[in-house]
Amino acid sequence: MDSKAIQDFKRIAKEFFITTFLLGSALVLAVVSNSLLQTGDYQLVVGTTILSLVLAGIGGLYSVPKLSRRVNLELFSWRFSYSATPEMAFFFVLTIIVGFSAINTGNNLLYLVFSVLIAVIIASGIISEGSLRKLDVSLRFPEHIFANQETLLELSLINRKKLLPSFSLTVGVNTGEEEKKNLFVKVQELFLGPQQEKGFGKLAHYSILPNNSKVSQRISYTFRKRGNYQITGFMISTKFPFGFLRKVQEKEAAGEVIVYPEPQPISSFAASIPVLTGWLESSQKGNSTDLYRMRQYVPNDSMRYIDWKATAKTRRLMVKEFTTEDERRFSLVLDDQQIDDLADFQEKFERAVVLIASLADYLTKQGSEVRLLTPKEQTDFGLGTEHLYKIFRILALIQPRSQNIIDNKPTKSISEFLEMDKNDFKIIVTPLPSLMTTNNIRIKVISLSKL
Amino acid sequence: MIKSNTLEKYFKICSYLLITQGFLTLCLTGNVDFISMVLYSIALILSWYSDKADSKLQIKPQTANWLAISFLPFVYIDFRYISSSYVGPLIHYSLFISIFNLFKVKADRDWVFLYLIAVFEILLAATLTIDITFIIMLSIFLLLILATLEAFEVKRSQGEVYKPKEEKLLNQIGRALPLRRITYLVGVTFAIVLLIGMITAPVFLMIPRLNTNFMARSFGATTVSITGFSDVVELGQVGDIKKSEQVVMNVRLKTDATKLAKLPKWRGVTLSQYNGRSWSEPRREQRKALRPIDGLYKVDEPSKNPFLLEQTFYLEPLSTPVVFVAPRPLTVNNQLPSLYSTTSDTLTTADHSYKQIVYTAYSDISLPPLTELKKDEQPYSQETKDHYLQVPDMDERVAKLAQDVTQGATTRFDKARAIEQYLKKNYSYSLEMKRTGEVDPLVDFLFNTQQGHCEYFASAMVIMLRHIGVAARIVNGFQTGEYNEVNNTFTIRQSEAHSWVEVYFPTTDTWMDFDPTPSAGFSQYTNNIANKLKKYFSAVRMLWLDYVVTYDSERQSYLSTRVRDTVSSYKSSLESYIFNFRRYLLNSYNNFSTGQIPVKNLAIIGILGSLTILTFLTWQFRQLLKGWQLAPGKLFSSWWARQLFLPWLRWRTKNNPQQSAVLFYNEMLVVLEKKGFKKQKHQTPLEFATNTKLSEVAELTNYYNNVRFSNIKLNQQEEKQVRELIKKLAKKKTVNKIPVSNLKRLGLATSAVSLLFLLGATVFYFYNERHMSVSSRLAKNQILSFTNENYRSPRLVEKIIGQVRQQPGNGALDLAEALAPGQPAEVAPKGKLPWDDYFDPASQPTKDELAKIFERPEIALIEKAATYKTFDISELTNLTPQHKIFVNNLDHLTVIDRVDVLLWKAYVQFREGKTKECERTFALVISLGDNLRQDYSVNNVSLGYRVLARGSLAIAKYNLLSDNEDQAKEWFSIMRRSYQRRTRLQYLVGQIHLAGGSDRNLTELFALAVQKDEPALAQQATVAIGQAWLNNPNQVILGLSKQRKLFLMALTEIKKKEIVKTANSCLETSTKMSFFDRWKEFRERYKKRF
Repeated sequence: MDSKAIQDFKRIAKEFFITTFLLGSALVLAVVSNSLLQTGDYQLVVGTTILSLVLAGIGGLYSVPKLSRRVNLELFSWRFSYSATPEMAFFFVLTIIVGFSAINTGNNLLYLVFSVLIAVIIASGIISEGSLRKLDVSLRFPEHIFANQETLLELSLINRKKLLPSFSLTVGVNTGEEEKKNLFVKVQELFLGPQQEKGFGKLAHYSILPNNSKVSQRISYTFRKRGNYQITGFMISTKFPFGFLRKVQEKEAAGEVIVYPEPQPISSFAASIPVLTGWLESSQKGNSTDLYRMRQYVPNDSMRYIDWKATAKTRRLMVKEFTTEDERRFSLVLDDQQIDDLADFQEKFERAVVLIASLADYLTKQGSEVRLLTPKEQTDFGLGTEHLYKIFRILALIQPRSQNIIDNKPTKSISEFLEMDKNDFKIIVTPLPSLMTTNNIRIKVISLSKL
Repeated sequence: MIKSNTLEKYFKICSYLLITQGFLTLCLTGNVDFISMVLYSIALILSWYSDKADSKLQIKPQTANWLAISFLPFVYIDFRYISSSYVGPLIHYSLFISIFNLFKVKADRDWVFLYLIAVFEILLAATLTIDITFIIMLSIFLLLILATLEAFEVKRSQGEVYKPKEEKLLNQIGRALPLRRITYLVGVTFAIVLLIGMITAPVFLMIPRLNTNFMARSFGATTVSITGFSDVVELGQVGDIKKSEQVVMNVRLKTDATKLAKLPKWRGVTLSQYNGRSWSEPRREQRKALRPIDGLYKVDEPSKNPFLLEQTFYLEPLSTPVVFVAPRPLTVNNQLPSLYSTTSDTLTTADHSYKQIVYTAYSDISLPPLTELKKDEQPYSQETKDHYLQVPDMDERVAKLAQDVTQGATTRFDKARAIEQYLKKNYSYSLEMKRTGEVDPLVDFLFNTQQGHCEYFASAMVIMLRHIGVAARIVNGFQTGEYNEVNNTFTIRQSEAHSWVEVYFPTTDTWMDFDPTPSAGFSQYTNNIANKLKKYFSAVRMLWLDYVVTYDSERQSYLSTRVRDTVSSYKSSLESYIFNFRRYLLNSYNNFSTGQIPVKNLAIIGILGSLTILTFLTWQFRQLLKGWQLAPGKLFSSWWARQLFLPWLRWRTKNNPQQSAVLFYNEMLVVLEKKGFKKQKHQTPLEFATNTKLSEVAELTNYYNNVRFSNIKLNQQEEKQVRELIKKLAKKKTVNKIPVSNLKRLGLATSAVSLLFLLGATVFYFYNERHMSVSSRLAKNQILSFTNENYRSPRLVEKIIGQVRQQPGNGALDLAEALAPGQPAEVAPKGKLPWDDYFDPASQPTKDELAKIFERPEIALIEKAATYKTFDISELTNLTPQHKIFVNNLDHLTVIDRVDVLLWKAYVQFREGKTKECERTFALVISLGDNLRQDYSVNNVSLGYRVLARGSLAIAKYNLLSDNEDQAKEWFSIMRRSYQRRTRLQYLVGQIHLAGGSDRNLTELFALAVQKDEPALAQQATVAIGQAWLNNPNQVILGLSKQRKLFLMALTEIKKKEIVKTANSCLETSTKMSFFDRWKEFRERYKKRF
């Protein structure tokens, strides 16, 4: 056992003893008051009874928040965890009070109610336990996902139990980060409605999952942020039957969803790069006829450029590529240096990413060759959607680079980019104010602060 | 879009039903006024229809809140001026809030609030009723609340996530099915209810109870304010007396009520003072609190000849503290918190206006003999005179009438009877009270109206008796009530309140009750279906009271003992089952080794086996069908399916070249799969063929491609070629590892299991054998210790026998005659034996009955049998074989019955003071027992000990009664020894039979028994040996020659001729005959003998 586990154990032991002490003394008082009943001193009886009920109530109130913390039962190698809902807190306190009143008065109807309450707890435990057994989850998502665009996810739940159906299952995807709420917030939610938003943690709900079958749902989900969503597992949870106990079963899984930044119509950026629109139009006209290279045919290539001679020689479909005008090659440079002085840096950086993505999208669709240059990663010039997705992928993952953090990956500086391939047109997005002075017509610098 | 309509609808229905149920339960208590009822019902219906997104009837949450607050002043007005109680405003307010929440645009918390109101309504109803209908309503409510909570949970969880665009249910093989959500939800609700019920029952029974629950307080029981019964009697009111059918109490009797000579009335209070208008009891305040001793309040001492009646009272919450009980209560148990007894013979307890109380009382309902009562002329004490002869100044006609009526009656009893009968005959019963001008109501009743209710009759009788100097008083209580045969209880209603008269007889200190009311004053009970149903209902209610309401620590411990007993009885029956099974195994092994195969067992094994195979085949077939659906090629994967279907398929595809190609290609694939080549889904036939690197496959694939993808048809030669190629392929040895098919795995597993089973069976058999030899050794030791005791008849027995055994001759003959088959089996009088601990004098047979039994010839014969000097059943020669078998195995019950008659006789003689005769009768019993004890049949020996024990117990009791304690002690010890001896004998016989594993052990046992002069045991050993031999003739053929000497030696020592004769003849014949015949003959003879 490591030290944390020992500490945990000590804490749990302490709580256990305090609860036991409180409930135990309540029980002793209940017995005392019960025997006092025979003597007929009713004031004393009432006094001890109330005291015992109060102690029981405190015991209940003390132990409920502890209960509401997640108790992981990994000891038994089940990946089950429990957390009490606010209803459970009410129910628990009610059960304890009814139990002590039963002992106090010796009234069998109270005993009966008490037994029913206990039976309800046990039964709901059994049912939810049964509901979560032998389940499998599978999630299918499209290859390319853009932020802020509806994405169709297909989430299927499979019940492998031969006889028993499962009820009311909520399935979520674990992405490593988890929100924890204390009991107070939960009680608040009970009265004021849920405060939280629907998220990746609660994707789909299956009201019924019959035995030996599979239910699949299609959910349209919108990722709000670009980036890499690491899927560490699935979370199947149920509050069935009465919503007293949220029982969670975690299934391990590995996978990642990469969400690209959402390209926007270029017109919205026109103001920031006035030269772009007019200038790009002119660059469309020139179309050189010099052979640049021969390469294998890929889908999307125009049939016109198939070189039949070469095809016959190599027995593969070959296309000719012609040299393009210099103006049709673009280098998009994104400087990821973090400048702490800049207000709203994070927000602006995101806008920069979107701008680069939009440019890449626009330029590619225009038929220009585009490459992305960032200090950490660089692509070659390329055409077509596959190349565009490559750029999107880098953009999806890029994060501002703090100067303090030393990374293993070799980086290149912006000045190096300026020296590279003087013939192409460079659009540089940078937070550095010093670059603004460049007079080169082929270099357009967009300051982050102006975005 | 997915349709969640059904779920929403289900949730709505459940919620509304729940709310309605809460309301209905409240209505059933009768506390909801008509207007509220109608208004709420209308509101419910309207809100059901308005519960839509865009309904105009819905109100905003704020409006609803303001309405709820602005209603509060009205609650106060309601409380002060309209309902003028707490309940009314509470009901109105909760209904009102419920209505406004119903019309709200409902969020989750509003639903919760509505449910809480419904729960509150139920709690309110609980405080207002204790009716059993409430329990039913509550059960329905619980069911509904469970269903609602489930639906609510599903609905809420659904709200927490994204609404799916599409949802579909697929079964195992991917076929889409409709998703029946509601069916599942309803089903699971019932399952949960069942589960909760199953958990609740044991939890309820097992939660430790710390106290005895004397009071069962319902959730606010309503008091039954008693109208009929009262602790004073007031005469003179005018008008109708209302009769209420409300149940006041239930009484359960321990004794079967139908067997009681006279059903008791339930006494409440007595009244002694009459002031001309009303009756009262001035001494009621002089009460003393009784203290419970050993859990019982002792009220009175029993009379000389008591007849106890155990009654358990289940009193509803009553406005009177009076404890009702049958006349002459002796004890009341301490389920009551307190008990007070007054000098006027009235019992009271604490106030229980809100509680049901349950108590058990014992009353002595025996009465002194009439002759004694009639003789009673003892003068009254001063106290009696003061209280029970008091008469106010009255019209002289009353005294005159009393004199006239009792003319001719001499004794107090006769006088009382005369007045009782006079009133009964000449006056009529009426609940409608009329008055004439007469001031004195009693005089008015006696001489003018001549009709009245029970109070008038009782008052008139008491006053008349007092006028002629007979002490009497009035008793108020209840009539016996309606008998409910379902659970042997009496149900007593308000209308059965009654007054009657008690007359005092000082000699025996008895208050005898008289009832002058004509029979019209007693309730008549109909027995129609409705009433019968009511009775069942009431029985269920009593069960509820018994098992739930009054369940306490005492009952809990009783229940746990019961459970323990049941478990242990199951355990012992399991043990005996295992034991029998072991013997059965052994026997069947023996039978098997002798070639005697039990047909029945074989048939069973055959049926079981074929059933197993059939199940297996069905299962295989199902698997196959399932597989076939998924991939038709799999059809060929099992050999028998290939044999069955392939020719048929070939014939069917004969004219379709493409299909036939698929067929042979599939066939090839199956063959290849067995060789370890599996065609992957992504492989084309050609690719696969190249991968296998088998020329046959390439060739076949070529054929396949040709036929499948063009219209070329194979000619006969080519077809032949294909067949041959496949065959060749099947025979070919390949290098690929062959995976084990599931079928093979199953086969392997089955054989492994059966091997294990065989191994287990062998081990078990040997263990069994070893165990057997161990048990036979044990048996030997037991017999040694048993026979070493060297039992001789005790001195006292010898002495007592000596007195009666005087005649020469064999007593067995008479006994055989007395017990000959065909005699009546049961001659003993019914009831407990007088010498038994639980002797009940009430169930005594009459003298005449007894005398008739004593004179029966078989009793005389038995008496005679005990007087002979010798007694040897084996000496009897002139009996039929059947009769002899009967005598060898005397029926215990018959003999004990006859011995009981003798013991009855001794009792009667003792009561009549004839001690000499009584002792002689005892001696006869002891003599009979001692004679039987020395018999050679274990059955009779054990019977002898039993008779001895029974006799000695009676003698011991007799000695106790005649203050001869020393003798009594000795007889008790004789009884104990006899019982011990008998039990051990039975045990030994069991051991001997258990030891039947090897006859060597048995022979030793036999020799031992003979040596120790225990003929009965020797006999048993012979029987066991014979049975062992019968089971295994090898023993007769081979074993006997080895063991014969020992056996013969033992036989020569035995003194009982019969055994020797039997065994010898067996042996002789067995040596003379051929092996097989010997065995057969032996078997036949032995069967006949034993």
